[in-house]
Amino acid sequence: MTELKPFSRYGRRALRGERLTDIPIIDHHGHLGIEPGGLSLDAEVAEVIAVMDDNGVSRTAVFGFGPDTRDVNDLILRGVAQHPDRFIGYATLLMDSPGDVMKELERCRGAGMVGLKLHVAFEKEPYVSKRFKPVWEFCAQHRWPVIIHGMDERLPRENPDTVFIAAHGIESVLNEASVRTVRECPNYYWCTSATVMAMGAIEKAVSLFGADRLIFGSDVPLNNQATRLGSVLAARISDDAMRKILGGNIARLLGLTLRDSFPM
Amino acid sequence: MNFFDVNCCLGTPPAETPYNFPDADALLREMDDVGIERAMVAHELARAFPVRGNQRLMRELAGHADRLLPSWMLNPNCMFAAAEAKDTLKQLDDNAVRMVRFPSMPPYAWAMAELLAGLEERRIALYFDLSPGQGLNHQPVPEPIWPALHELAVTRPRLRIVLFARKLSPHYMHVLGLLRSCPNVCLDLSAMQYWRATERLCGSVGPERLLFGSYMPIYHAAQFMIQILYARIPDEAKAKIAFGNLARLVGVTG
Repeated sequence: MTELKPFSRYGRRALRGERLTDIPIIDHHGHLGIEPGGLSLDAEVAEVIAVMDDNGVSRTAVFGFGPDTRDVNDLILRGVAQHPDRFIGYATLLMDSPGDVMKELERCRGAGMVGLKLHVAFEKEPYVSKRFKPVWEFCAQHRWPVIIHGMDERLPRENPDTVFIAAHGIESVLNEASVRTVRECPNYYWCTSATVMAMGAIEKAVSLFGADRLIFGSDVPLNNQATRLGSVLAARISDDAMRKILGGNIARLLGLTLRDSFPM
Repeated sequence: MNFFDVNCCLGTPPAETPYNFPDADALLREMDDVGIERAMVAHELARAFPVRGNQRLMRELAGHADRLLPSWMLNPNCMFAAAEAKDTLKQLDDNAVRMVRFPSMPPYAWAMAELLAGLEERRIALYFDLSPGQGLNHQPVPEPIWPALHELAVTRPRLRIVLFARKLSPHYMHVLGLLRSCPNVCLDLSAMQYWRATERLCGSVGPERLLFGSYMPIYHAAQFMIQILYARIPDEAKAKIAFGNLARLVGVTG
């Protein structure tokens, strides 16, 4: 059995009920427009900001999902516009949406979005299909991270210039092939937004490939951001590793300055 | 803040996890480190072999009664595992057990009348793990459980029932309905890792029947402690959820 190591000082403070408002915590997996508790968009935006304040989260990357790409992206843009210092907008797309998807990505980039979120449940073709190649090239060119729910692990190997983040990737920590892909592909990251976070999962991942490739995500407001943040803070890892996972790694990928990361 | 955990286990869990607690000392070390004062403890061995598993649990907990209380696993629907109700109740009496655990199954009140009446009479709490399967999978709760559970709670109003499942989000209406209509039903809050769950449940049914549970060693206790500590509810409500409600439920003071 793995020996239990000490908590980081951040974990210790959180277990005393302290909000960690002195370090940048960036939640890289959030949504808007999903109507939690039957809320309208404006009420949902206000609630997510309130939750972030409660949990000491400085910024949250937000994206939507649904059958109409342009409609979803418009909704995210409206939400981000209310708190541009707290939200980070990501585009989404469906290859079979009406219109030119590459033009839609350009439109989103022009409006300030900085990454792409895809969900395998909404696509008819696998992500390794040739149709997606221009999308990966666009993201590489503009340094957009691509977060995918339902990652095809051939992608980071076949597209080494594009950064891929596996949503809920931490759930694969006991899968040797997935761990090998992270080790062998420096453009491949895992998000910590596990539906079920096993005790010791983050420690295991850090021991297997270090802390540089893990990114905190909560799936707020689908999930309880405090519980998901707690599942990371609960990890027995070093202070430095904890800072990287909570915000340092994604700040580096997005080119955020400390001031960008930490507007609170 | 003091914490009293309603859900943790000794022994090897049915899922592959990096940690487990082979004995009470290992569990107590973790509880000390994370800051949990007391726990209701079951033994994984009892999941398949209730007699050996519950006996093993009692041996492990000997000498730690100030912090670790036994939570016996029973499997009354399994012909091989089920003992006669009167024998089970006698063993619960002999070992001063304050909580028993049932696996996922429709808890038909008519089918287990003697055992359930005995639990009710003794004020032994019934911890109900509604999750189908074991380990880390998170399948929804089978639908037939809900009407049976409601009937049980209504027909046995003094039986204290604690609900848990790894996935309760698709059953919010059932959970809320049970909590609202049955004052003898409580909820292990680790089953609700969803949007504002702590705040919403407190607002709907009050904090008195929400309990802190860790599901150690499969989940990490700290995440659920932080869920409570960071919740936008009064400190008094947090203290009830963290410790007071469970202490009252199983008759522990301090």
